Amino acid sequence: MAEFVEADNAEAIIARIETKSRKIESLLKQYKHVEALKTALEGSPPKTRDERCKSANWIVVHRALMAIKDIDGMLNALDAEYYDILMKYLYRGLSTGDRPTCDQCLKIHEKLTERAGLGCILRCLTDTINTV
Amino acid sequence: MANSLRLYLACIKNTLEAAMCLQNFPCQEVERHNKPEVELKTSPELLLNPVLICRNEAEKCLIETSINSLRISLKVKQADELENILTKKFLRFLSMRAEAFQVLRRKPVQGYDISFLITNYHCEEMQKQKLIDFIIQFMEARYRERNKGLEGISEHKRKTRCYRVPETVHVKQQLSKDIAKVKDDQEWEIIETRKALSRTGPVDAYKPKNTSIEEELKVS
Repeated sequence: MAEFVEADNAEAIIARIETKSRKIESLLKQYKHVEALKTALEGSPPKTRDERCKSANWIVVHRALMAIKDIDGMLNALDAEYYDILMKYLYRGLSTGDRPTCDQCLKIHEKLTERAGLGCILRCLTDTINTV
Repeated sequence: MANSLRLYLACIKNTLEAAMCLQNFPCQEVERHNKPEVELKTSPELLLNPVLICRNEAEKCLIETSINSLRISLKVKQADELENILTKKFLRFLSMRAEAFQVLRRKPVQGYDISFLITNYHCEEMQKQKLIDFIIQFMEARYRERNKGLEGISEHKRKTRCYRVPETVHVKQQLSKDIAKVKDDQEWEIIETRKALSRTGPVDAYKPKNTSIEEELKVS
């Protein structure tokens, strides 16, 4: 069942992600970093096992993450429901091994753990269905 | 630089605190067996997502958890050949004495320099917080020693103004380390052969003579 849905929706999801990335570019130009990150995290494709959708979404989120300079302000403005998804993307960023990405992700990781606690990390570790 | 190290270690510490939730879980497949599931990886429902934390291209830490065990693999940066050799020798020295450390794994995971394996039994005997502190302090000590060693070498370089000299200075140390290594290797071999003997007994103790009946009859 799930595979059926994916095959049809993969193209649709990728198209959605492209429109999202254009919106995020415009938001970043207006220096609305928090809005950009929220938009990037919102449409995270759930339950897709298609690697292309996940990579496409990761590229978009990565763009938004690297543009952020004020981490405390960003976390203040972000709602609690986005913490889990953000943590998953942080771990994906940490696994890339690219120096600036890792620096940024490590900074955000520390602050996010202070806010969201160890439960957030544990939910990332245990969630094998909605992987990023 | 120091700040990125601090952040890297803080990230690993937080992840370990969250991931070290181990409980006793007897093996599902084989009766009366109790195995660390993270090593065998037979049942996917017992494993959590592995997490890779990279500080930069050369340094990373892989944390894999399961229901009753947790495996931490570290890769440290080696700037040049000399450091590579020293690190390998040092970590090999530690790995051979893994029994004394209890949480150390004898062989590092493929692609990493050193690995720790923590099981639920370790968590029952020792405090979880202290285990995590041990691993973080281990990493910190590595970095401090490496920096001290590098400082010593660059200090010497400046004094003698020749790049080749550190190599000759280290040859003596290298030699004595080689001798120690050979002694260690021999010791280790002796221990392993003794262990093997106690398991299987001397291999060529019983050698039956392959004689056929005709030969026996001829002789008599």
